[in-house]
Amino acid sequence: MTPLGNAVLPYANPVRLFRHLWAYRDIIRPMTRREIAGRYRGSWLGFGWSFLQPLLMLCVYTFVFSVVFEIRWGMPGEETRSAFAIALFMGLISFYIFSETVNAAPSAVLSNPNLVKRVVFPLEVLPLVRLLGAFVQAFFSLIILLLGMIVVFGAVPWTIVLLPLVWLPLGLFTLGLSYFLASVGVFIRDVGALTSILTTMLLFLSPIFYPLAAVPARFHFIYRLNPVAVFVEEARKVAVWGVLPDWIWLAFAGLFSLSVLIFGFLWFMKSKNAFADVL
Amino acid sequence: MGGAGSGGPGEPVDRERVIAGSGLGKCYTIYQAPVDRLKQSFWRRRKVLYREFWALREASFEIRKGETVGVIGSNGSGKSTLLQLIAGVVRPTEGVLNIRGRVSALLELGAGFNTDCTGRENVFMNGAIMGLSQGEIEDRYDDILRFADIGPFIDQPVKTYSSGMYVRLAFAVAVHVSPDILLVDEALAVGDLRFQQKCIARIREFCERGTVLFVSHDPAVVKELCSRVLWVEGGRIRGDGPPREVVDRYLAYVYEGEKADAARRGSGSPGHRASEDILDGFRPLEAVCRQFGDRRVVIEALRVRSRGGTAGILHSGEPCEISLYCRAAESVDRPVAGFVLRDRLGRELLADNTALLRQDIPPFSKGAGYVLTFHLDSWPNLREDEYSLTVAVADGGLTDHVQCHYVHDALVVRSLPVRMPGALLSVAKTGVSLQEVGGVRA
Repeated sequence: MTPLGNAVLPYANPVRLFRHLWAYRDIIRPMTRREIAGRYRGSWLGFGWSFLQPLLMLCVYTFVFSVVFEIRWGMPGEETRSAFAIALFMGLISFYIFSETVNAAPSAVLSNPNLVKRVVFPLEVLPLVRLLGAFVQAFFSLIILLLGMIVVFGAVPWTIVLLPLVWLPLGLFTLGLSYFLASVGVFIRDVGALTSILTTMLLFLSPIFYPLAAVPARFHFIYRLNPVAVFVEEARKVAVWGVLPDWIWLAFAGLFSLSVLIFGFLWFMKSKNAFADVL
Repeated sequence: MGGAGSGGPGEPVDRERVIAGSGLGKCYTIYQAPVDRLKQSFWRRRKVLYREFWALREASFEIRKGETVGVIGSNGSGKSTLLQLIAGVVRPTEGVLNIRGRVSALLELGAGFNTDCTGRENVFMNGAIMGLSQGEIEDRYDDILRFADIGPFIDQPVKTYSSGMYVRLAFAVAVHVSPDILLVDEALAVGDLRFQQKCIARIREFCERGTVLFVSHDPAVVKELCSRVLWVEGGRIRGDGPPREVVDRYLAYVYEGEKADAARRGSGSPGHRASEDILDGFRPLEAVCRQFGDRRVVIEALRVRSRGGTAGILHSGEPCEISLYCRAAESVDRPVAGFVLRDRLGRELLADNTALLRQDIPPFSKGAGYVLTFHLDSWPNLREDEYSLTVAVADGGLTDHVQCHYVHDALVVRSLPVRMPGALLSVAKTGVSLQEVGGVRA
């Protein structure tokens, strides 16, 4: 039923990898549904929080960065507060896909010792479920963003249909990193704390609250090394500014993300036999 | 002893092997800190950062299609590890294990449930984990629901379930995935009596068609349900064969210790005793027993046996002896000795003492040792189970005495009935007669 032995190398072939995960769709689907419904379960507003939470955070960020710090995106023509908010929001949506998944990863296996030790369970679905949950949340936020853009700009750029092309490598990268963290988190319990600090640092070190242009050129290399920054910037380009993505970059990002995923997945599969030893 | 020696050369090979283990071993590695496990994989074998614990070793056996195999053994003997290996939850550290067919384990019922999901979602998820397609689960869904019998709770998160409902649903799923091999732990004795009966009936039904491995502490159940028994002790397979033979050896081991099993295996005749010493078969009292008294007389050892039988096992209807080995630290003028037999619930079933029996014991003199024996004519027909024996020696009469040594639950004995008692106990030799006394006149 389940493949025994430590033969993980076949998963270096991405087709095998995706087919492997696809085989568990009947487990992934209900778990993802529960992941989303579980967040606000029992609260009075329920699903409304999915919309309200990002909106409220957006108000605060807009106030702080646009009113207090007076940051400008450098848009052509007159730049309004609402335009600022929309650009900021798009950055946040992309970033949250990354940070929600990655923050949850170190505890994904750690918090499910039952699934490790007592039943035969495909543990590799756990980080994926988090990622899918984050994507669904991002989708709801995107709906708010689209409404906002229609109100503020009166139109939505057609390039937004290219957004999946940017989000897909973001997802692969996030998933690969999550696999790695989920595994290491079992052995080194500090990873959880460290991860949440690092994601918060990345939030401010990515061009989310400010344009990349506002960063002194000699620091740009940091942003070029920060994969999240690149994804955030490209996603905003296609969704808000209506600019075509850099195709060469996109191809490169896709390959890079895929290799991160393969590395993370192989690491996870190789180490998962040892989880039971320490949980 | 080669555990898999059950199949002789002349045996027909029409029944295929479904489980075959050879040289199976499971070593648990215990690490000081979780990070050591990570370091170990870099060190490989050059440096050892763990302590080893072998839960099972050199287990070789094979199980054929359709067999119902009981697995017995003391606590921590490795029988759960054996089942976990077969279930695939635990990987063998050494050896080879081949399994043909789908295994469904009733080991940790509901361990795979997601407590936030509803019962319905868990049924589908569990089914998917077991390798069933969505359609196959839908086909069985109504049966599962009917079997679990939890009504509208099926659409509630399982964390709101009572423990009974939880296990019922888990059991229902596990038996409806049409496994080829069913692993059962006696822990399934949960839920109300009606559900237990339903489970047992279902397992029996499955025994007819499929292969079952059944772990139990209860020799009676094993003897009844199984066609073969594996006895696991100290991480090794100690016995493999017909239920009666293996269970008897196991019981002798439990109540008499290592020596008895060796003797039994060597001689083959259970009644065989090399030297009929008066102190043969005595079990020293364990220090953990709750006890009190002024210790002018100390009870040092006990022996309980049916005539000519194994110590610690009492056969209903047979004469039996309860013997106390005592040593007098001081002289005692009017010694009184007694015993109380209790069941698992602490109910006193049988009690007697020398004063009630009007059997005066001569005074004990300082420094002497005595064996005091109660001869019971016929042991009552008690339900097959374990019972505890409390013993005491006092100084004085029935109403005015000082306890010298009173030991709670000094010895655990097993009672084997000649038949199923209707209530707590019955008289072993009970006859029935019927006389016709003429018709009823209109």
